[in-house]
Amino acid sequence: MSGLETTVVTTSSEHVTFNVDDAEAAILAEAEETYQGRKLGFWFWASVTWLVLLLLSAVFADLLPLKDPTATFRGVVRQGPSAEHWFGADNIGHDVFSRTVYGARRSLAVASVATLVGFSIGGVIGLVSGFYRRTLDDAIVAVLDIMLAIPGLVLALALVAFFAPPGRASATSQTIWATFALSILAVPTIARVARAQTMVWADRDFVLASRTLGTRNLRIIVREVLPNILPAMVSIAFIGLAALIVVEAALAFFGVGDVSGVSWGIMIQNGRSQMDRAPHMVLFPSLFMFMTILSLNFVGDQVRTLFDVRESGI
Amino acid sequence: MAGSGTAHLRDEDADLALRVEHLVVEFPVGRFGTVHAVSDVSFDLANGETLGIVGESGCGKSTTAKAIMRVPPPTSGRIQLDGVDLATLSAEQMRDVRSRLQMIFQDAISSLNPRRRIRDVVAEPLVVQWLESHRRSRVIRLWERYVPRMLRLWRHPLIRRVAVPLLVAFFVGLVLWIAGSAFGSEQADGTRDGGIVQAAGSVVMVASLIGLAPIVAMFVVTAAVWLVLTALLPIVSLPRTFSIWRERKKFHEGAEVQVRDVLEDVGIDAEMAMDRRPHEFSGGQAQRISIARALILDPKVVICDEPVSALDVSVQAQVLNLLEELKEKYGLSLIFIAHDLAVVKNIADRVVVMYLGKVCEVGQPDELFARPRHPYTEILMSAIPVIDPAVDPRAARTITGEPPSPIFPPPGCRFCTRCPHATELCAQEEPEIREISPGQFVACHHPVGVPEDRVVDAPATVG
Repeated sequence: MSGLETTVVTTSSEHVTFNVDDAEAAILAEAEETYQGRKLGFWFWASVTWLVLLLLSAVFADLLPLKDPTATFRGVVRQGPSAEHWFGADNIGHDVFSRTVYGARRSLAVASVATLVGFSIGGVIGLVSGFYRRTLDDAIVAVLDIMLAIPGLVLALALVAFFAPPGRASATSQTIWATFALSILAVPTIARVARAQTMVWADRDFVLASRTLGTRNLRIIVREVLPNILPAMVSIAFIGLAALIVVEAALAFFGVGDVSGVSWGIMIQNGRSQMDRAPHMVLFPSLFMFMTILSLNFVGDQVRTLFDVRESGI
Repeated sequence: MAGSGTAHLRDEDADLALRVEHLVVEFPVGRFGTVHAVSDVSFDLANGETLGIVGESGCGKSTTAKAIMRVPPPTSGRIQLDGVDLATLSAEQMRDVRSRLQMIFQDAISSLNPRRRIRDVVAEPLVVQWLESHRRSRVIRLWERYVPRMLRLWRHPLIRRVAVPLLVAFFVGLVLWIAGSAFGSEQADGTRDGGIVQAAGSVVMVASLIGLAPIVAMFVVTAAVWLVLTALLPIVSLPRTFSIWRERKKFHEGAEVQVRDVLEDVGIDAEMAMDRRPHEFSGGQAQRISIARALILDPKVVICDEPVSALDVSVQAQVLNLLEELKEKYGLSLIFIAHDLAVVKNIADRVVVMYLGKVCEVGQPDELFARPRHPYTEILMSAIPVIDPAVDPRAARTITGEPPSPIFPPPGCRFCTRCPHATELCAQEEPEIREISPGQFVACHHPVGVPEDRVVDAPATVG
């Protein structure tokens, strides 16, 4: 017993101020390891490059030296790739390359707006549900389960077909309803991720510490919990964006939403009947979609590893 | 060991910082069970004193600390701080008191948000207080008063007791009605006459709907009021948001100076640390930062919940010395919770030994460690390893098994199931705390070394 006493009291209070230089050096080294030591790798940058290129060409399609996507060219109907028409031409002589680039516009716009809306609504629902728990959580989870139980495509088709029937509603209203339907699809998935993460983080000591200060719940949610669950949510949002691009194409494929414009889904739908004679009509938009989705999934995965803070320095 | 009673409390007019009386904390488990985490614990803390609370894991030390901080609030009991009973304050009133009462946690790194910079973490108490100093609009205060009352009304057992049978009755009526119409005799026009069954179904349905109407109306009306208030919230909070936004720069300049000062006080180089995040610090440094956060509001009482248990022994000593220094400098009173008896012996002016949610023994550390009176304290003391090759550790007095479940605590003395001196009396009657020698209080029917009053040197049980 006497031995233990000495261990505790021997260090005099002068030693309390630790050696700053050493500590600083150690911390700097560790910080470097934490943030720069994570190699993102070739495929991450390849994915980002692809996505940026696609985004830029979709936004500035009008400024690029592309052929008019709605113009029909004579004598090239169903012809394969050539120097004049890089991706060939479709069954009525549209240039497939310019249509693929223009098609990215609608696909990306609808899917990303829907993801953004679903991300916000689902995030708030998940945070509230995971933070307050009890009856509120039970009710919200029940609703989310019901939403998850309905096949996504069927729900989206039903919504759009009911509220903006093709042929009767205007093109704008069809696009808005398609976007709305897609964002509803995104809500339960994102809400569940946010809820699970919130439950994990809300049990941590720093949330308790915040409570002992008398912090209001809203501030705890926004300042303590939200920054911690954001990486997981962003990651799932990227993957959700990829899924919504597919669903958007599927809606166009089934002929709901605005089908008069140019989009990957519409191009695939048009080319479906020409598969035996002009496979490039389906191939190129599908390839673009495939690469975009692959890139989004890849970036989504990497985002989480990138922002994962090491929690302990011990 | 289970001691109840308040014989060990000092006079209320003595120079006390905190006085806890008959503190009870219970949690529901499952449908009917209750965890008796803390049962009738009383202690007091004089100004400038350090009170140690020791006991094995699960004895309710941390729960006691959290109950004083009201996270969650205690089931019953009184917590007197500056003549105010914290247990009876509303959440709003409690916010004003919290600056005088702070807490430090065991796992320092986990008690700091990994995403926030040290400057924000340490300034957080100031920010919270500053935000509270801006008066909320009347609508928000009304909303905060209204919503809990509305939820309490909705959850009222009476409503459940009335609504559930009525709903059941309605569905029984519906089934009767459908059955009647399905099996009734067919009329000339193709409809079916359900006869008496269908009529009875209709009557039951209408009656239950009439009964349900006031409940449904109450739900609709309260929800409508909630909706109106909630819709107003964003608009009415604008002036406050605007004034906070205007003053934020001035506030943050002032806060930064304070953060710097308190960081230097706890021995952290503010210049280096301010813009870093918690994971870049070692356990000891992180504990210093969380001490800085607790001190920035200049509190009166700091509750340390095992502040050094997760640290290396050498760092433990540093943090303990730091706490001693800061106690002088800031004029603090400390409640120091630990399971390391050596630490408590060195830092505490008074020690409370707890077992299974009850107080066993209270006394000065020197007396308590030299002459433990409670069998449990004696066993705890003998568990301290002795650095002396002549002492055989196997000869130390030990108890076997786990403490009993706090869901079904034993009647009588709570320690009687494991106590070597337990008798019939212990299993039936709970011992009251009594003064056994000046300044030493024990809750035991058969205290060690009494009545012979022989000096028992507990740890050196074998020479």
